[in-house]
Amino acid sequence: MDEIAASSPARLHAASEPPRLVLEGAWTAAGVKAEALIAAAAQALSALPEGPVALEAAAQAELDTVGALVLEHIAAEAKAKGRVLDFSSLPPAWQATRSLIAHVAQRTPPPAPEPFSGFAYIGKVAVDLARHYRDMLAFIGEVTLHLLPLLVRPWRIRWDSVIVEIEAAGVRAVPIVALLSFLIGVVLAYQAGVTLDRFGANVFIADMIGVVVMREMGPMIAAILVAGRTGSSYAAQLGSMRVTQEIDALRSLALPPVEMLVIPRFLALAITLPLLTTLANAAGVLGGMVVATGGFGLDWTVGLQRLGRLENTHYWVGLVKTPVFATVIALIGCQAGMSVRGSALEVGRATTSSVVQAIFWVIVLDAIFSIAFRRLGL
Amino acid sequence: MSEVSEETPAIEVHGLCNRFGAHVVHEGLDLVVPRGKVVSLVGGSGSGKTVLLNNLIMLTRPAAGSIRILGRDVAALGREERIRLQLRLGVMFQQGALFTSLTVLENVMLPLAEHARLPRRLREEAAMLKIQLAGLDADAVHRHPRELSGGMTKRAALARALALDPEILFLDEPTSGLDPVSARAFDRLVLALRDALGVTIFQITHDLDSIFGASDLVVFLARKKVLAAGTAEELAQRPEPELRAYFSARAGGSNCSLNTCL
Repeated sequence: MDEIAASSPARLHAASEPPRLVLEGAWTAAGVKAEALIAAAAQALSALPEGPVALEAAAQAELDTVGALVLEHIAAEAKAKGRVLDFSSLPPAWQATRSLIAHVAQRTPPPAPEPFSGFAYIGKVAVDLARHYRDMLAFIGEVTLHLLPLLVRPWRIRWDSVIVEIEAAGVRAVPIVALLSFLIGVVLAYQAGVTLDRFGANVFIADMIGVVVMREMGPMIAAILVAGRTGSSYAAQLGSMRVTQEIDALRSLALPPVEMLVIPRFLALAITLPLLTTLANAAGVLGGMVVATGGFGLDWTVGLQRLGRLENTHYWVGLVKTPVFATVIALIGCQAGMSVRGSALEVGRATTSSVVQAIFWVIVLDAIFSIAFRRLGL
Repeated sequence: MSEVSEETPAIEVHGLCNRFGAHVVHEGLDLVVPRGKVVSLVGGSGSGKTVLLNNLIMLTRPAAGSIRILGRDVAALGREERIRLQLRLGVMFQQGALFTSLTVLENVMLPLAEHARLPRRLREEAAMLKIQLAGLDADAVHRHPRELSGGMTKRAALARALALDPEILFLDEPTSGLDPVSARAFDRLVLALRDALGVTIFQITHDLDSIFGASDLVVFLARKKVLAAGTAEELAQRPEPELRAYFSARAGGSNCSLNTCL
């Protein structure tokens, strides 16, 4: 019979001789519409003559603690209007549920801690930011302290971990890096081609693609992809290792987590990113050449000759940036992971923040490099 | 609750089978859980306790067999009826499974907000009631789950399971990870909830003190089915080797050296 009761909502109506309120249906969490019931009770009470009013439960009615709470509110409203409700004729099970509520020490929650408001919020953000960069500096220091002795004794570096990380960050990224760089090359060649074509300078499409891809686009695309793919996974891996106390376990076994986890990842990226950048350069130039020859009538041989005559500086200028990008991506990702405190929610936050920060710093550093190289005349 | 429903058992399982690929977990499992009792499901690791629990709380479907919860055949339910039945069950997961982005109070209020038509003030009162019934201090309600100790997490999870006044409460290892004092307090709490709310409690446990001290009925899972059911004292006297091994673990635990134990 439960299913019928559960599907019939809580109701009440007034009855006289003696004056009473009859409660029907499911006075349960699923069955009560609290505000409507409280209003209906007030209305029903006003129709009854002065004096105490008994509450009566109909045969199929049910009550749980939520329903009992609603009854308490009905009684409180009635009392405010000078009416007295008599609960004594309710069945014993209902009385038990009511007494359960009566014994609760604190009916309403204590006031919630004040959220930061306006001015204080700005201060909090500033303090958090300062704290974040202080932690970041401390982390860089810690990594350096662990890295320097290892550089003197390179055989103590955990090369097997480095190899595993190179595979994850490098080998598995080959298809996506190659494809996206190829497409960027295609797009650049179209844009350059339309303009250069007007001047009959189609041969320079090859020059332009070569310079732009090798100096800027190749390193940037590779770095941004690695930041999104690998930097985020570093943050997530180390973050969940903190949540599951694996980092604490390493510490307790006197295995420094920085040496075990951070340095292999950092070295792997420092080795991988220049290689991926070279791949991105090749794929980008190929994409540009395909468009230049197919869309703008450039001869393959001529195009290759033009590319061959470019200075090697362009390639090296692009490549020299990549270890710096790799360092930034690895350190930001690992630091975000290591800074996770407590819960799974934090892991998600750390992952997002690592990607945003890594891409931000890659672009900022790239701009700084561009200006510096211009000043140096490279 | 009406007369008819008192007579139908809380849970009736007949001929239940579960398998993962070639691995058979349950075969022809029968189980009856009477209403208003504390029932403990015990069995060795890998005996399929959690698999059975997931079947009962309708998270997974068994490969074969029938499950009746509160007199209703789970397999025959439509979507609406299924949800309505689920709302009459409360589940406390082993690790608490509190939503980390919400405070304790918000965790307990969530089912009330989604499934009951109550103004905020009443929701808060209902949540406060359940939090205090679960034995959690009112001062802890604005904390986030990560700021809670193990025992508090269990109690907060219990409060959320109780939010909608369930008729059956499922507890997955409620006392694991608690110190003995907290564990016995939790046992007393479970018994008090049975008496106060008339709720049926179905718990997975490895805690022999809970099995002996706070269970009306013990169901022992082995050989892919319910090997034995009865009071803890009855089961401890049974001749089956699995039961003897399980219950002698406590008796013989102290007098073995490293060599004999290995």
